[in-house]
Amino acid sequence: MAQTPAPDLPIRTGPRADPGRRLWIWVVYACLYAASIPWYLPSNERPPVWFGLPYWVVLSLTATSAIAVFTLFVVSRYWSEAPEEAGRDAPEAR
Amino acid sequence: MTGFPFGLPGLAAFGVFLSALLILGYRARGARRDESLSDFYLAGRTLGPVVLLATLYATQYSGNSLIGYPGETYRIGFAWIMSVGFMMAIVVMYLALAPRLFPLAARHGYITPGDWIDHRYRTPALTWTANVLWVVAISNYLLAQLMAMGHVTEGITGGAVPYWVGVVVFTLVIIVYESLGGMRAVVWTDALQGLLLIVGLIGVLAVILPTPAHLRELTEWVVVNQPSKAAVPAWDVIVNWASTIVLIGLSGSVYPQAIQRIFAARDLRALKRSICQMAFLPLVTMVPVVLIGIYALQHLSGLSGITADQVMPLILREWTGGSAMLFGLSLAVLIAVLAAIMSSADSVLLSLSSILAKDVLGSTVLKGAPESRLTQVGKRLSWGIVTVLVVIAVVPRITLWGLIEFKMEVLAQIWPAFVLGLHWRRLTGGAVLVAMLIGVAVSIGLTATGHPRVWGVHAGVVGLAANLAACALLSTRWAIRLPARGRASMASAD
Repeated sequence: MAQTPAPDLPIRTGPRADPGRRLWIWVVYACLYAASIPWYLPSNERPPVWFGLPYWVVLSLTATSAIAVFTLFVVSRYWSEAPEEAGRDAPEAR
Repeated sequence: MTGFPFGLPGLAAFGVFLSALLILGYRARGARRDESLSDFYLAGRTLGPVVLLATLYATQYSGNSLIGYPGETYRIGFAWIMSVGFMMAIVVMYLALAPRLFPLAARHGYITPGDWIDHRYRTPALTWTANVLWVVAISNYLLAQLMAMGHVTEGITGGAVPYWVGVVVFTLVIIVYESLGGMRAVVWTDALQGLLLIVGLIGVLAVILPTPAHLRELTEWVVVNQPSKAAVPAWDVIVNWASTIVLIGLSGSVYPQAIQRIFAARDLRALKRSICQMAFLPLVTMVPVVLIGIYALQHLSGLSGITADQVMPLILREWTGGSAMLFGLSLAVLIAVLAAIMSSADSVLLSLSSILAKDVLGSTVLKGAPESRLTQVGKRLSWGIVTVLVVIAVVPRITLWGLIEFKMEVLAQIWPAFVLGLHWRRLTGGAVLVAMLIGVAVSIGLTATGHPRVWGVHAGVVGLAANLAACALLSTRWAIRLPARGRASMASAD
Protein backbone atom coordinates (compact mmCIF):
# COMPACT_ATOMS: atom_id res chain seq x y z
CA MET A 1 0.00 0.00 0.00
CA ALA A 2 1.29 3.44 -0.85
CA GLN A 3 2.48 5.83 1.78
CA THR A 4 -0.01 8.52 2.73
CA PRO A 5 1.34 12.01 2.09
CA ALA A 6 2.31 13.59 5.38
CA PRO A 7 0.00 16.39 6.47
CA ASP A 8 1.51 19.80 6.32
CA LEU A 9 0.76 21.62 9.55
CA PRO A 10 0.00 25.24 8.77
CA ILE A 11 1.67 26.73 11.80
CA ARG A 12 5.12 25.37 12.23
CA THR A 13 6.42 25.23 15.73
CA GLY A 14 9.94 24.00 16.05
CA PRO A 15 11.70 23.35 19.35
CA ARG A 16 11.86 27.08 20.13
CA ALA A 17 8.09 27.46 20.21
CA ASP A 18 7.16 23.95 21.27
CA PRO A 19 8.84 22.39 24.32
CA GLY A 20 7.08 19.14 23.47
CA ARG A 21 9.56 18.63 20.62
CA ARG A 22 12.61 18.51 22.89
CA LEU A 23 13.37 14.94 23.87
CA TRP A 24 15.57 15.88 26.82
CA ILE A 25 12.63 17.62 28.50
CA TRP A 26 10.62 14.39 28.50
CA VAL A 27 13.66 12.47 29.76
CA VAL A 28 13.93 14.87 32.71
CA TYR A 29 10.20 14.46 33.42
CA ALA A 30 10.60 10.66 33.33
CA CYS A 31 13.51 10.83 35.79
CA LEU A 32 11.61 13.15 38.16
CA TYR A 33 8.53 10.94 38.05
CA ALA A 34 10.70 7.87 38.68
CA ALA A 35 12.09 9.67 41.74
CA SER A 36 8.58 10.51 42.95
CA ILE A 37 7.61 6.84 43.20
CA PRO A 38 9.46 5.14 46.10
CA TRP A 39 10.32 1.93 44.19
CA TYR A 40 13.98 2.31 45.09
CA LEU A 41 13.49 2.41 48.87
CA PRO A 42 13.59 -0.58 51.21
CA SER A 43 10.26 -1.64 52.66
CA ASN A 44 10.25 -1.01 56.39
CA GLU A 45 7.33 -1.15 58.76
CA ARG A 46 8.44 1.82 60.86
CA PRO A 47 9.87 4.46 58.57
CA PRO A 48 11.75 7.43 60.04
CA VAL A 49 9.68 10.61 60.32
CA TRP A 50 11.02 13.71 58.54
CA PHE A 51 9.30 17.09 58.91
CA GLY A 52 6.28 15.33 60.42
CA LEU A 53 5.85 12.85 57.56
CA PRO A 54 7.25 9.40 56.68
CA TYR A 55 10.59 10.01 55.01
CA TRP A 56 9.51 8.45 51.71
CA VAL A 57 6.54 10.83 51.51
CA VAL A 58 8.94 13.77 51.90
CA LEU A 59 11.13 12.35 49.11
CA SER A 60 8.09 11.87 46.88
CA LEU A 61 6.81 15.39 47.52
CA THR A 62 10.27 16.82 46.86
CA ALA A 63 10.31 15.13 43.46
CA THR A 64 6.78 16.29 42.57
CA SER A 65 7.68 19.82 43.68
CA ALA A 66 10.67 19.59 41.34
CA ILE A 67 8.28 18.59 38.52
CA ALA A 68 6.21 21.74 39.16
CA VAL A 69 9.32 23.95 39.22
CA PHE A 70 10.68 22.26 36.09
CA THR A 71 7.36 22.88 34.32
CA LEU A 72 7.58 26.57 35.22
CA PHE A 73 11.13 26.62 33.81
CA VAL A 74 10.19 24.79 30.61
CA VAL A 75 7.17 26.98 29.89
CA SER A 76 9.08 30.18 30.61
CA ARG A 77 12.25 29.25 28.76
CA TYR A 78 11.22 27.00 25.88
CA TRP A 79 7.67 27.98 24.93
CA SER A 80 8.13 31.03 22.79
CA GLU A 81 5.18 33.34 22.29
CA ALA A 82 6.32 34.31 18.80
CA PRO A 83 5.46 31.64 16.20
CA GLU A 84 8.50 30.58 14.27
CA GLU A 85 8.53 31.09 10.58
CA ALA A 86 8.05 28.10 8.37
CA GLY A 87 11.31 26.47 7.55
CA ARG A 88 13.19 27.39 10.70
CA ASP A 89 13.79 24.50 13.05
CA ALA A 90 10.67 22.83 11.75
CA PRO A 91 11.16 19.24 10.67
CA GLU A 92 8.01 19.47 8.54
CA ALA A 93 9.65 22.02 6.32
CA ARG A 94 12.27 19.72 4.95
CA MET B 1 -27.58 10.90 62.88
CA THR B 2 -30.66 12.48 61.35
CA GLY B 3 -31.63 15.98 60.31
CA PHE B 4 -29.80 18.79 58.63
CA PRO B 5 -27.05 19.61 61.12
CA PHE B 6 -26.53 23.17 59.87
CA GLY B 7 -30.06 24.43 60.57
CA LEU B 8 -31.28 27.77 59.26
CA PRO B 9 -27.81 29.34 58.92
CA GLY B 10 -26.87 26.45 56.66
CA LEU B 11 -29.96 26.82 54.52
CA ALA B 12 -29.35 30.56 54.25
CA ALA B 13 -25.73 29.97 53.20
CA PHE B 14 -26.85 27.52 50.52
CA GLY B 15 -29.46 30.02 49.36
CA VAL B 16 -26.82 32.72 49.01
CA PHE B 17 -24.44 30.38 47.19
CA LEU B 18 -27.01 29.15 44.68
CA SER B 19 -28.36 32.69 44.15
CA ALA B 20 -24.83 33.94 43.46
CA LEU B 21 -24.44 31.27 40.77
CA LEU B 22 -27.70 32.28 39.12
CA ILE B 23 -26.81 35.98 39.26
CA LEU B 24 -23.45 35.25 37.65
CA GLY B 25 -25.26 33.31 34.93
CA TYR B 26 -27.57 36.25 34.33
CA ARG B 27 -24.67 38.70 34.20
CA ALA B 28 -22.84 36.40 31.78
CA ARG B 29 -25.88 36.50 29.49
CA GLY B 30 -25.60 40.28 29.44
CA ALA B 31 -21.94 40.04 28.46
CA ARG B 32 -22.55 37.95 25.35
CA ARG B 33 -21.49 39.51 22.05
CA ASP B 34 -23.46 37.44 19.57
CA GLU B 35 -25.14 34.07 19.12
CA SER B 36 -22.10 32.36 17.59
CA LEU B 37 -20.81 28.98 18.70
CA SER B 38 -17.50 30.58 19.64
CA ASP B 39 -19.19 33.09 21.92
CA PHE B 40 -21.44 30.56 23.66
CA TYR B 41 -19.06 27.61 23.95
CA LEU B 42 -15.69 29.41 24.24
CA ALA B 43 -16.69 32.78 25.72
CA GLY B 44 -15.54 34.43 22.49
CA ARG B 45 -11.93 33.22 23.15
CA THR B 46 -11.45 36.00 25.68
CA LEU B 47 -10.36 34.17 28.84
CA GLY B 48 -7.54 35.99 30.60
CA PRO B 49 -5.00 34.29 32.88
CA VAL B 50 -6.92 34.61 36.16
CA VAL B 51 -10.27 33.32 34.90
CA LEU B 52 -8.57 30.67 32.80
CA LEU B 53 -6.63 29.41 35.81
CA ALA B 54 -9.78 29.38 37.96
CA THR B 55 -11.79 27.42 35.44
CA LEU B 56 -9.02 24.94 34.67
CA TYR B 57 -8.62 24.38 38.41
CA ALA B 58 -12.32 24.05 39.25
CA THR B 59 -12.88 21.75 36.30
CA GLN B 60 -9.95 19.46 37.06
CA TYR B 61 -10.81 18.99 40.73
CA SER B 62 -14.26 17.48 41.10
CA GLY B 63 -16.21 16.41 44.14
CA ASN B 64 -14.21 13.21 44.04
CA SER B 65 -11.16 15.19 45.15
CA LEU B 66 -12.88 16.24 48.38
CA ILE B 67 -15.01 13.19 49.10
CA GLY B 68 -13.34 10.26 47.35
CA TYR B 69 -9.67 11.06 47.91
CA PRO B 70 -9.72 11.51 51.72
CA GLY B 71 -11.54 8.19 51.72
CA GLU B 72 -8.86 6.59 49.54
CA THR B 73 -6.20 7.87 51.95
CA TYR B 74 -8.17 6.45 54.87
CA ARG B 75 -8.18 3.11 53.00
CA ILE B 76 -4.56 2.83 51.84
CA GLY B 77 -2.69 5.41 53.96
CA PHE B 78 0.15 7.73 52.94
CA ALA B 79 0.54 5.95 49.58
CA TRP B 80 -2.33 8.09 48.30
CA ILE B 81 0.24 10.88 48.05
CA MET B 82 0.42 9.45 44.52
CA SER B 83 -2.57 11.70 43.77
CA VAL B 84 -0.24 14.74 43.75
CA GLY B 85 1.78 13.16 40.95
CA PHE B 86 -1.09 12.00 38.80
CA MET B 87 -2.96 15.30 39.03
CA MET B 88 0.28 17.06 38.06
CA ALA B 89 0.75 14.65 35.15
CA ILE B 90 -2.33 16.14 33.46
CA VAL B 91 -0.68 19.57 33.49
CA VAL B 92 2.63 18.15 32.26
CA MET B 93 0.85 16.46 29.36
CA TYR B 94 -0.66 19.79 28.32
CA LEU B 95 2.89 20.63 27.19
CA ALA B 96 2.65 17.89 24.58
CA LEU B 97 -0.38 19.46 22.96
CA ALA B 98 -1.05 23.08 23.94
CA PRO B 99 1.94 24.76 22.20
CA ARG B 100 0.89 23.39 18.80
CA LEU B 101 -2.85 23.19 19.31
CA PHE B 102 -3.49 26.72 20.56
CA PRO B 103 -2.24 28.54 17.43
CA LEU B 104 -4.05 26.05 15.20
CA ALA B 105 -7.30 26.55 17.12
CA ALA B 106 -6.96 30.32 16.96
CA ARG B 107 -6.25 30.31 13.25
CA HIS B 108 -8.90 27.80 12.19
CA GLY B 109 -11.58 28.61 14.75
CA TYR B 110 -11.88 25.20 16.40
CA ILE B 111 -14.84 24.91 18.76
CA THR B 112 -14.69 21.25 19.75
CA PRO B 113 -11.79 18.79 20.03
CA GLY B 114 -13.35 16.92 17.10
CA ASP B 115 -12.56 19.94 14.92
CA TRP B 116 -8.87 19.23 15.26
CA ILE B 117 -9.28 15.51 14.54
CA ASP B 118 -11.36 16.34 11.46
CA HIS B 119 -8.93 19.00 10.30
CA ARG B 120 -5.88 16.84 10.79
CA TYR B 121 -7.01 13.55 9.26
CA ARG B 122 -10.02 14.40 7.02
CA THR B 123 -11.38 10.95 7.87
CA PRO B 124 -15.05 11.19 8.88
CA ALA B 125 -15.12 7.68 10.35
CA LEU B 126 -12.27 8.61 12.69
CA THR B 127 -13.89 11.89 13.76
CA TRP B 128 -17.15 10.08 14.48
CA THR B 129 -15.41 7.34 16.45
CA ALA B 130 -13.46 9.84 18.53
CA ASN B 131 -16.63 11.82 19.22
CA VAL B 132 -18.51 8.68 20.28
CA LEU B 133 -15.70 7.83 22.72
CA TRP B 134 -15.69 11.38 24.10
CA VAL B 135 -19.48 11.41 24.49
CA VAL B 136 -19.53 8.01 26.22
CA ALA B 137 -16.71 8.96 28.56
CA ILE B 138 -17.96 12.38 29.59
CA SER B 139 -21.62 11.34 29.79
CA ASN B 140 -20.59 8.87 32.44
CA TYR B 141 -18.52 11.50 34.16
CA LEU B 142 -21.49 13.88 34.18
CA LEU B 143 -23.78 11.17 35.50
CA ALA B 144 -21.30 10.48 38.30
CA GLN B 145 -21.30 14.18 39.26
CA LEU B 146 -25.12 14.33 39.33
CA MET B 147 -25.27 11.22 41.50
CA ALA B 148 -22.57 12.64 43.77
CA MET B 149 -24.70 15.77 44.35
CA GLY B 150 -27.54 13.54 45.51
CA HIS B 151 -25.34 11.38 47.72
CA VAL B 152 -23.68 14.38 49.39
CA THR B 153 -27.05 16.02 50.04
CA GLU B 154 -28.55 12.86 51.47
CA GLY B 155 -25.44 11.96 53.47
CA ILE B 156 -24.89 15.32 55.10
CA THR B 157 -28.55 15.74 56.04
CA GLY B 158 -28.78 12.23 57.42
CA GLY B 159 -31.51 11.45 54.91
CA ALA B 160 -33.69 14.44 55.87
CA VAL B 161 -33.30 15.75 52.33
CA PRO B 162 -33.77 12.83 49.90
CA TYR B 163 -31.17 11.88 47.35
CA TRP B 164 -33.39 12.79 44.39
CA VAL B 165 -33.99 16.33 45.70
CA GLY B 166 -30.25 16.94 45.76
CA VAL B 167 -29.86 15.66 42.19
CA VAL B 168 -32.78 17.69 40.82
CA VAL B 169 -32.21 21.01 42.63
CA PHE B 170 -28.50 21.33 41.96
CA THR B 171 -28.84 20.12 38.37
CA LEU B 172 -31.57 22.68 37.79
CA VAL B 173 -29.35 25.49 39.03
CA ILE B 174 -26.52 24.34 36.73
CA ILE B 175 -28.66 24.08 33.62
CA VAL B 176 -30.27 27.49 34.23
CA TYR B 177 -27.03 29.45 34.61
CA GLU B 178 -25.40 27.52 31.80
CA SER B 179 -28.28 28.14 29.38
CA LEU B 180 -28.17 31.81 30.28
CA GLY B 181 -24.48 32.47 29.87
CA GLY B 182 -22.77 29.45 28.25
CA MET B 183 -19.02 29.26 28.80
CA ARG B 184 -18.90 32.74 30.37
CA ALA B 185 -21.35 31.65 33.06
CA VAL B 186 -19.43 28.43 33.58
CA VAL B 187 -16.04 30.09 33.99
CA TRP B 188 -17.36 32.88 36.22
CA THR B 189 -19.08 30.39 38.49
CA ASP B 190 -15.94 28.23 38.32
CA ALA B 191 -13.98 31.16 39.73
CA LEU B 192 -16.30 31.31 42.74
CA GLN B 193 -16.37 27.54 43.10
CA GLY B 194 -12.60 27.18 42.80
CA LEU B 195 -12.08 29.86 45.43
CA LEU B 196 -14.45 28.08 47.82
CA LEU B 197 -12.66 24.79 47.19
CA ILE B 198 -9.21 26.06 48.03
CA VAL B 199 -10.35 28.17 51.01
CA GLY B 200 -12.29 25.21 52.40
CA LEU B 201 -9.34 22.84 52.07
CA ILE B 202 -6.80 25.17 53.62
CA GLY B 203 -9.27 25.98 56.41
CA VAL B 204 -9.71 22.31 57.24
CA LEU B 205 -5.96 21.79 57.25
CA ALA B 206 -5.48 24.75 59.59
CA VAL B 207 -7.96 23.24 62.03
CA ILE B 208 -6.81 19.64 62.07
CA LEU B 209 -3.07 20.30 61.93
CA PRO B 210 -2.45 23.81 63.26
CA THR B 211 1.27 23.25 63.96
CA PRO B 212 4.08 20.99 62.68
CA ALA B 213 4.07 19.27 66.09
CA HIS B 214 0.49 18.12 65.48
CA LEU B 215 1.51 16.65 62.14
CA ARG B 216 4.42 14.79 63.69
CA GLU B 217 2.23 13.44 66.48
CA LEU B 218 -0.36 12.25 63.96
CA THR B 219 2.21 10.53 61.73
CA GLU B 220 3.84 8.80 64.69
CA TRP B 221 0.41 7.55 65.78
CA VAL B 222 -0.11 6.01 62.34
CA VAL B 223 3.40 4.49 62.34
CA VAL B 224 2.69 2.78 65.67
CA ASN B 225 -0.99 1.86 65.31
CA GLN B 226 -1.44 1.27 61.59
CA PRO B 227 2.12 0.66 60.37
CA SER B 228 1.17 -0.71 56.95
CA LYS B 229 -0.37 2.68 56.10
CA ALA B 230 2.87 4.54 56.82
CA ALA B 231 5.34 2.01 55.43
CA VAL B 232 7.04 2.29 52.04
CA PRO B 233 4.37 0.89 49.69
CA ALA B 234 4.55 -2.72 48.53
CA TRP B 235 5.51 -3.52 44.94
CA ASP B 236 1.92 -3.95 43.71
CA VAL B 237 1.09 -0.44 44.96
CA ILE B 238 4.22 0.93 43.29
CA VAL B 239 3.21 -0.55 39.92
CA ASN B 240 -0.33 0.79 40.34
CA TRP B 241 1.13 4.21 41.23
CA ALA B 242 3.16 4.37 37.98
CA SER B 243 0.26 3.05 35.92
CA THR B 244 -2.13 5.62 37.41
CA ILE B 245 0.23 8.48 36.52
CA VAL B 246 0.29 7.32 32.89
CA LEU B 247 -3.45 6.69 32.69
CA ILE B 248 -4.63 9.88 34.39
CA GLY B 249 -1.94 12.06 32.79
CA LEU B 250 -2.78 11.02 29.24
CA SER B 251 -6.55 10.68 29.51
CA GLY B 252 -6.98 13.79 31.69
CA SER B 253 -5.17 15.91 29.12
CA VAL B 254 -7.67 15.01 26.38
CA TYR B 255 -10.82 15.71 28.35
CA PRO B 256 -12.94 17.79 25.93
CA GLN B 257 -13.69 20.38 28.61
CA ALA B 258 -9.96 20.88 29.27
CA ILE B 259 -9.15 21.16 25.56
CA GLN B 260 -11.91 23.70 25.05
CA ARG B 261 -10.41 25.84 27.79
CA ILE B 262 -7.15 25.86 25.83
CA PHE B 263 -9.14 26.99 22.77
CA ALA B 264 -10.84 29.70 24.86
CA ALA B 265 -7.64 31.38 26.08
CA ARG B 266 -7.36 35.03 25.15
CA ASP B 267 -3.75 34.69 24.02
CA LEU B 268 -0.67 32.55 24.44
CA ARG B 269 0.55 34.53 27.42
CA ALA B 270 -2.66 33.84 29.35
CA LEU B 271 -2.45 30.15 28.52
CA LYS B 272 1.21 29.86 29.55
CA ARG B 273 0.63 31.65 32.85
CA SER B 274 -2.32 29.44 33.68
CA ILE B 275 -0.45 26.23 32.90
CA CYS B 276 2.52 27.35 35.02
CA GLN B 277 0.28 28.02 38.01
CA MET B 278 -1.75 24.85 37.47
CA ALA B 279 1.48 22.86 37.89
CA PHE B 280 1.68 23.92 41.54
CA LEU B 281 -1.98 23.43 42.44
CA PRO B 282 -1.80 19.65 42.97
CA LEU B 283 0.58 20.38 45.86
CA VAL B 284 -1.75 22.97 47.36
CA THR B 285 -4.86 20.83 46.86
CA MET B 286 -3.95 17.17 47.16
CA VAL B 287 -1.55 17.42 50.11
CA PRO B 288 -4.33 18.83 52.38
CA VAL B 289 -6.72 16.18 51.03
CA VAL B 290 -4.28 13.38 51.92
CA LEU B 291 -3.64 14.84 55.36
CA ILE B 292 -7.40 14.99 56.02
CA GLY B 293 -7.56 11.26 55.25
CA ILE B 294 -4.61 10.58 57.57
CA TYR B 295 -6.29 12.64 60.31
CA ALA B 296 -9.38 10.46 59.87
CA LEU B 297 -7.27 7.33 60.48
CA GLN B 298 -6.64 8.49 64.03
CA HIS B 299 -9.81 10.44 64.62
CA LEU B 300 -12.26 7.80 63.42
CA SER B 301 -10.25 4.84 64.71
CA GLY B 302 -12.90 4.04 67.31
CA LEU B 303 -15.61 3.56 64.70
CA SER B 304 -15.93 0.33 62.75
CA GLY B 305 -17.39 -0.41 59.35
CA ILE B 306 -16.72 3.04 57.88
CA THR B 307 -16.66 3.08 54.10
CA ALA B 308 -14.22 5.35 52.32
CA ASP B 309 -16.90 7.76 51.09
CA GLN B 310 -18.19 8.37 54.63
CA VAL B 311 -14.93 9.78 55.96
CA MET B 312 -15.37 13.44 54.99
CA PRO B 313 -19.12 13.64 55.82
CA LEU B 314 -18.41 12.10 59.25
CA ILE B 315 -15.75 14.70 60.03
CA LEU B 316 -17.98 17.54 58.85
CA ARG B 317 -20.99 16.37 60.85
CA GLU B 318 -18.87 16.09 63.98
CA TRP B 319 -17.57 19.64 63.60
CA THR B 320 -21.08 21.06 63.45
CA GLY B 321 -21.36 20.36 67.17
CA GLY B 322 -18.11 22.21 67.95
CA SER B 323 -17.25 25.89 68.22
CA ALA B 324 -18.79 28.59 66.02
CA MET B 325 -15.59 28.63 63.96
CA LEU B 326 -15.70 24.88 63.37
CA PHE B 327 -19.38 25.10 62.51
CA GLY B 328 -18.71 27.83 59.96
CA LEU B 329 -15.77 25.97 58.51
CA SER B 330 -17.66 22.72 58.13
CA LEU B 331 -20.46 24.61 56.37
CA ALA B 332 -17.91 26.28 54.08
CA VAL B 333 -16.35 22.90 53.26
CA LEU B 334 -19.74 21.37 52.54
CA ILE B 335 -20.52 24.18 50.12
CA ALA B 336 -17.01 23.75 48.66
CA VAL B 337 -17.71 20.04 48.06
CA LEU B 338 -20.90 20.83 46.20
CA ALA B 339 -19.17 23.68 44.36
CA ALA B 340 -16.44 21.30 43.22
CA ILE B 341 -19.01 18.82 41.94
CA MET B 342 -21.07 21.52 40.21
CA SER B 343 -18.03 23.14 38.59
CA SER B 344 -17.04 19.84 36.98
CA ALA B 345 -20.61 18.99 35.99
CA ASP B 346 -21.27 22.33 34.27
CA SER B 347 -18.04 22.16 32.24
CA VAL B 348 -18.72 18.61 31.12
CA LEU B 349 -22.32 19.45 30.21
CA LEU B 350 -21.21 22.37 28.06
CA SER B 351 -18.66 20.21 26.24
CA LEU B 352 -21.18 17.46 25.70
CA SER B 353 -23.69 19.91 24.31
CA SER B 354 -21.11 21.43 21.94
CA ILE B 355 -20.04 18.04 20.57
CA LEU B 356 -23.62 16.90 20.01
CA ALA B 357 -24.83 20.20 18.53
CA LYS B 358 -21.87 21.04 16.32
CA ASP B 359 -20.10 17.78 15.51
CA VAL B 360 -23.07 15.43 15.43
CA LEU B 361 -26.14 17.43 14.38
CA GLY B 362 -24.12 20.14 12.64
CA SER B 363 -22.56 17.57 10.32
CA THR B 364 -25.78 15.67 9.62
CA VAL B 365 -29.35 16.93 9.97
CA LEU B 366 -28.32 20.54 10.60
CA LYS B 367 -25.53 20.66 8.03
CA GLY B 368 -25.16 24.19 6.73
CA ALA B 369 -27.35 25.69 9.46
CA PRO B 370 -26.27 29.12 10.75
CA GLU B 371 -24.28 29.20 13.98
CA SER B 372 -27.06 30.96 15.88
CA ARG B 373 -29.33 28.02 15.08
CA LEU B 374 -26.70 25.50 16.28
CA THR B 375 -26.24 27.53 19.46
CA GLN B 376 -29.97 27.44 20.15
CA VAL B 377 -30.08 23.72 19.45
CA GLY B 378 -27.11 23.23 21.77
CA LYS B 379 -28.95 24.96 24.63
CA ARG B 380 -31.99 22.73 24.13
CA LEU B 381 -29.73 19.70 23.91
CA SER B 382 -28.27 20.58 27.32
CA TRP B 383 -31.76 20.43 28.82
CA GLY B 384 -32.40 17.12 27.07
CA ILE B 385 -29.09 15.64 28.23
CA VAL B 386 -29.61 16.56 31.89
CA THR B 387 -33.22 15.34 31.81
CA VAL B 388 -32.12 11.92 30.62
CA LEU B 389 -29.21 11.75 33.05
CA VAL B 390 -31.30 12.93 36.01
CA VAL B 391 -33.80 10.15 35.28
CA ILE B 392 -30.97 7.63 35.15
CA ALA B 393 -29.50 9.07 38.36
CA VAL B 394 -32.73 8.97 40.37
CA VAL B 395 -34.12 5.64 39.19
CA PRO B 396 -32.37 3.14 41.41
CA ARG B 397 -32.86 0.22 39.07
CA ILE B 398 -30.80 1.88 36.37
CA THR B 399 -27.16 2.18 37.20
CA LEU B 400 -24.22 2.97 34.98
CA TRP B 401 -21.63 2.97 37.73
CA GLY B 402 -19.88 0.05 36.07
CA LEU B 403 -19.39 2.07 32.90
CA ILE B 404 -17.77 4.87 34.85
CA GLU B 405 -14.89 2.52 35.46
CA PHE B 406 -14.23 2.63 31.72
CA LYS B 407 -14.05 6.43 31.56
CA MET B 408 -10.31 6.99 31.80
CA GLU B 409 -9.52 3.77 29.95
CA VAL B 410 -11.61 4.92 27.00
CA LEU B 411 -10.30 8.49 27.01
CA ALA B 412 -6.69 7.28 26.96
CA GLN B 413 -7.32 5.62 23.60
CA ILE B 414 -7.99 9.02 21.99
CA TRP B 415 -4.58 10.35 23.07
CA PRO B 416 -2.52 8.97 20.14
CA ALA B 417 -4.91 10.39 17.53
CA PHE B 418 -5.14 13.73 19.28
CA VAL B 419 -1.60 14.36 20.47
CA LEU B 420 0.67 12.22 18.27
CA GLY B 421 -1.15 13.68 15.29
CA LEU B 422 0.22 17.08 16.26
CA HIS B 423 3.80 15.90 16.00
CA TRP B 424 3.98 12.92 13.65
CA ARG B 425 3.22 13.69 10.04
CA ARG B 426 3.22 10.07 8.86
CA LEU B 427 0.37 9.15 11.17
CA THR B 428 -2.61 8.37 8.93
CA GLY B 429 -6.32 8.58 9.69
CA GLY B 430 -6.91 4.95 8.81
CA ALA B 431 -4.08 3.73 11.02
CA VAL B 432 -5.21 5.87 13.93
CA LEU B 433 -8.80 4.66 13.62
CA VAL B 434 -7.87 0.98 13.55
CA ALA B 435 -5.39 1.47 16.42
CA MET B 436 -7.99 3.35 18.48
CA LEU B 437 -10.50 0.53 18.05
CA ILE B 438 -7.85 -2.01 19.02
CA GLY B 439 -7.03 0.00 22.14
CA VAL B 440 -10.69 0.30 23.15
CA ALA B 441 -11.29 -3.42 22.52
CA VAL B 442 -8.28 -4.41 24.64
CA SER B 443 -9.21 -2.03 27.50
CA ILE B 444 -12.88 -2.90 27.67
CA GLY B 445 -12.24 -6.57 26.94
CA LEU B 446 -9.80 -6.90 29.82
CA THR B 447 -12.06 -5.01 32.23
CA ALA B 448 -15.20 -6.86 31.19
CA THR B 449 -13.49 -10.22 31.62
CA GLY B 450 -12.48 -9.40 35.17
CA HIS B 451 -8.96 -8.12 34.50
CA PRO B 452 -9.13 -4.38 35.23
CA ARG B 453 -5.42 -4.60 35.97
CA VAL B 454 -2.74 -6.82 34.43
CA TRP B 455 0.14 -7.29 36.90
CA GLY B 456 -0.94 -4.02 38.49
CA VAL B 457 -1.10 -2.09 35.22
CA HIS B 458 -4.50 -0.61 34.29
CA ALA B 459 -6.34 -2.22 31.40
CA GLY B 460 -6.46 1.23 29.78
CA VAL B 461 -2.65 1.45 29.81
CA VAL B 462 -2.35 -2.03 28.28
CA GLY B 463 -4.88 -0.94 25.63
CA LEU B 464 -2.90 2.24 25.04
CA ALA B 465 0.30 0.23 24.48
CA ALA B 466 -1.55 -1.86 21.88
CA ASN B 467 -2.98 1.33 20.38
CA LEU B 468 0.45 2.98 20.06
CA ALA B 469 2.04 -0.17 18.61
CA ALA B 470 -0.76 -0.41 16.05
CA CYS B 471 -0.37 3.29 15.17
CA ALA B 472 3.34 2.80 14.52
CA LEU B 473 2.96 -0.39 12.51
CA LEU B 474 -0.04 0.67 10.46
CA SER B 475 1.33 4.12 9.66
CA THR B 476 4.83 3.01 8.69
CA ARG B 477 4.78 -0.57 7.41
CA TRP B 478 1.33 -0.76 5.85
CA ALA B 479 0.27 2.89 5.69
CA ILE B 480 -3.44 2.12 5.96
CA ARG B 481 -5.68 4.66 4.28
CA LEU B 482 -9.42 5.13 4.53
CA PRO B 483 -11.63 7.20 2.23
CA ALA B 484 -10.87 10.80 3.16
CA ARG B 485 -12.98 13.88 2.70
CA GLY B 486 -10.73 16.01 0.51
CA ARG B 487 -6.99 15.86 0.89
CA ALA B 488 -5.71 14.40 4.13
CA SER B 489 -3.69 17.46 4.73
CA MET B 490 -3.90 20.46 6.92
CA ALA B 491 -2.61 22.57 4.06
CA SER B 492 -5.88 22.20 2.18
CA ALA B 493 -7.63 24.14 4.89
CA ASP B 494 -5.38 27.15 4.62
